[in-house]
Amino acid sequence: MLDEQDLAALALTSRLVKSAVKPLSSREFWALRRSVEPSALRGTTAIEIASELAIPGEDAERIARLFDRATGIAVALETLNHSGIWTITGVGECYPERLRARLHDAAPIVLHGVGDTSLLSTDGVGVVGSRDISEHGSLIACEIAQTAVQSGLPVVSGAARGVDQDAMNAAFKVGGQVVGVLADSLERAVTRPGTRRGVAGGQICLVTPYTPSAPFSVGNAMGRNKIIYGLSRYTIVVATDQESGGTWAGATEALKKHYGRVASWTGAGSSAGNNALVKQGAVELSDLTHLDYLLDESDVPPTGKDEPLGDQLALGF
Amino acid sequence: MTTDFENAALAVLRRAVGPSAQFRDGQFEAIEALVEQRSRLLVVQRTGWGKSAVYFVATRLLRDRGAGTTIIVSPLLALMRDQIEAASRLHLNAMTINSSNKEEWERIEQDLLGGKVDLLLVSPERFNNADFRDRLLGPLSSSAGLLVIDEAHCISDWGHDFRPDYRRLVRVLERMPSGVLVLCTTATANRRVVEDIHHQLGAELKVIRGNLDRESLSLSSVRIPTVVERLAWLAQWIPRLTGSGIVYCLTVADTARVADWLNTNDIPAAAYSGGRDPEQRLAIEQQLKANELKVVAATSALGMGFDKPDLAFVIHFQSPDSPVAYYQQVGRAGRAVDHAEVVLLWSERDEDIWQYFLEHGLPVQWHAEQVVEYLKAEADWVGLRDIEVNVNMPSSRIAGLLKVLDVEGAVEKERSKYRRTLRPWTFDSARIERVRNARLAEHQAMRDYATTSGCRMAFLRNALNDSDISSCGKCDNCTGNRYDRKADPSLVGQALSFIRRRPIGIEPRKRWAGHRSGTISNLLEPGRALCYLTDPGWGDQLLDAKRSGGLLSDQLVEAAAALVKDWMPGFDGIVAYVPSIDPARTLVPNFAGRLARLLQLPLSDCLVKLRQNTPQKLMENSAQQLRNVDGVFAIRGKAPTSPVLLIDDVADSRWTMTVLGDLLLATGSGPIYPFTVGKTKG
Repeated sequence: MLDEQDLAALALTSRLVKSAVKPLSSREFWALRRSVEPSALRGTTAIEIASELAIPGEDAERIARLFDRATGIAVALETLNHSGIWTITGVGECYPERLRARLHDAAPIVLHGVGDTSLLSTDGVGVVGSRDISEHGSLIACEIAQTAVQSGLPVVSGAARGVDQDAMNAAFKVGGQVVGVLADSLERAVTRPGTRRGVAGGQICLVTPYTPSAPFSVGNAMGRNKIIYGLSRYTIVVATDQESGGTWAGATEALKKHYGRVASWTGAGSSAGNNALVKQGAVELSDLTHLDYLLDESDVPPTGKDEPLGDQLALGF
Repeated sequence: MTTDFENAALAVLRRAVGPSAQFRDGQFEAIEALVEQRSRLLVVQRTGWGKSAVYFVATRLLRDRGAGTTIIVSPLLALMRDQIEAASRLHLNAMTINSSNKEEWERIEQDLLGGKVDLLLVSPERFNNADFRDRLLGPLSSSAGLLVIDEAHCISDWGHDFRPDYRRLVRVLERMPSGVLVLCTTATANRRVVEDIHHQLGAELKVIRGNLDRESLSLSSVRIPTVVERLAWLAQWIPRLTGSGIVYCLTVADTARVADWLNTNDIPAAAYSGGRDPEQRLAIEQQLKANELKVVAATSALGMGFDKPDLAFVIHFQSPDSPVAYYQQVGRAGRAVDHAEVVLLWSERDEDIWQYFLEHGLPVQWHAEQVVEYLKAEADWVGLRDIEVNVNMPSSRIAGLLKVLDVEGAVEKERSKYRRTLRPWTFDSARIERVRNARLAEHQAMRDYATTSGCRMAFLRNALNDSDISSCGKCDNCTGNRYDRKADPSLVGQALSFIRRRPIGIEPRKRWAGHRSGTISNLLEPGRALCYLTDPGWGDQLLDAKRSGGLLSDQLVEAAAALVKDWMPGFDGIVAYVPSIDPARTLVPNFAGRLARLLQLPLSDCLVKLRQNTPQKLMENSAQQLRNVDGVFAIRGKAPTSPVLLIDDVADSRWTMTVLGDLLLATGSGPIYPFTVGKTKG
């Protein structure tokens, strides 16, 4: 059940309903919350907000206007909830703790999804890679997924064509659980009868930081990568181009910002990109028999590195 | 001393109503709570108190302070028409979006976006409609306004009125932060309903309650056991009442029966129920308002929102099943006149109908689970027809059940197709049990009302947890003036022959169902039945004979013959009957034989049954019923070429008759006139 804090977070950041002013970004919201619990600002005027937080009038006005969306958001949330799409927020209880711990202010405020939310906190194995993949690469993705299932871990992936789908389908077929982190079209993804049966049977959890009707965009596809790294005990990059493409960008970002542990497949069928990733700091995985060991070693999740905050708590907008 | 705010509010009111207008008790208090204190508010006030003045004036003041559109969710479309007119007097631009004004939606949407709409009236069904929400969301989001929930007792499980759409409304409310202004209004909420609404809307909810007394009503209760005697009572007493009124009935069939009977007795009357066209209903309402009709015999469909200030009497032909419903219905009388007569005709037999409503109004666990299981396995959109073919339960109940499952979130609907949602769901048997017990307690309260020796108005107000209750001094118990329960014997005799002569039609089925699709080309003619199964006299006798394996009396067969002669004076075809495999079941062939002899028509045994099937009464919907009888019958020898009077004992689903008619007509017989002894009530 969403409480007053959740509802305030949604009013300020959600893009479920149109808005005359721009909703707060994750960074803006987390920064605001360091000064004040946002739900306390509801019902106050822009002038009061400006003087309480010592921020410019136009920023205060923006917050006040965003709170006006409460009715529309309530209707939109109930509509989603009615079809089985849940909503959780970064200030609520169901939100996976490690996501906030690892992603810091990049952690999405709102997650929508279907299936069992507790799957998000079950420490899965991330499997990522290019959309266009060799037959051998596909085989590796499947084997990694099956090993994860045998270890009792869910597979976390992006549900895109190529590595993502191969890994998720392989895990699903052997009775395992999968967490799909979607960059777009959650609403459309849940129309497939097979997916619905998987969700109903507790095998599939789909989650997205974007609105459930969001169309595909490159920016969103990039933005959701960090969530895969953030949710997984280890993320294995099966295949990546070097210095280009979403997989490369996502993996190097995760390494640099410590979003999660990253391993790169360097065995048979791997490409130059995979080796280059090792040079960037990814753990090398050249033999699938080492995977068990890798997963065992990593059951304590790392926390990301704090980004330096100034002496003063400044709002980022 | 008046405050600036009070002056401002009063000025708004006076602009609409007139320069000397004053707020009624509680109205200003409610407006102040909303606009000044920004409280969430529940207002419990009797009908006619003027709740619309509260939300109109509050909306004007809020809009002047820059608030968004007020949304009023109300189940009363009739009320909407009146309210839109009233709103314009306050310079409020009120709009409604409903199924009858689709062509205006786009313009209204534009106006909403432009902030030009002050009030938007919608039904709860519309509020839950996916397309409507898509369109509405944009305009709703720009700025917050007041949300008004009319007939708010429907929010509560404990309310006598079970309206599934209100459950989703509650879920929207749960997702609204405490700062959003909400006004709930109702005329009928007892303590438990108020507590429930309190629980749903949060602890800060402020409650304003008014007095529920209706001083003009003079309440009486008369126990009359049979339909015939009740009809006679109406014919005897209604002409002595001044003005016009409503006779409330529990069933649609009874509204028609009562209206016809009164018309035969030169009392202008019309029948009104939810089954009639909206235009017809509106016309009847207007005729009643203009006193062109003395009586409207109506089901509870003539209800909330109907306002005739000088309605002079309300008589109940049967007892309703809850004191709250009863209070609402009698409260339509005497709003603007000093005196109105209110009479409850009742007997213990009314309780059979209460029981029927109770059993059919609540979802059955195995039905619900069966439907959800089926949809879960399909995991995709499924049409109603496929559900009927795959699930053995009555179609009428499938539709109702799907509605309940929809609002509970087990099932979703899109363009008349259904799909299992992704939400976990289990049948909430505790909740259903709670509702059932609440209903049973209401039944008991209604029994107590009928037989109480105390003040009746005090009894009703007490049932609604009103305060400051004193005796009314006007009811039969307070005054000692009672109606005679016995009517004039000659009127009773006339009523009896009216009942027996009254045609009971059997409408031919026009479309196939389940495995056969399309329209039926070999149509039966409209048929007749002698009685309803629930009628005393013939109905009882038929049920007894069916149970004991006996035959029907000469008197009944003679009545049937008289009916057929009346119905088709020159009929010269043959008599045929629905066959059975069991030679011990002689009721139908015996009846057909005796009837044929009395009518001097040939009897044909050309219809035969090929194999034993499951008793048709165990089949719960059309698809299953048709499949159960299709192909079970055949024609032996040469088919008759003449018109056929097709005889059976009971008309219920009509599928047996339909299948036999199809067989006979295909071989060149016909036309086919179905005739049965009894008919289940439709």
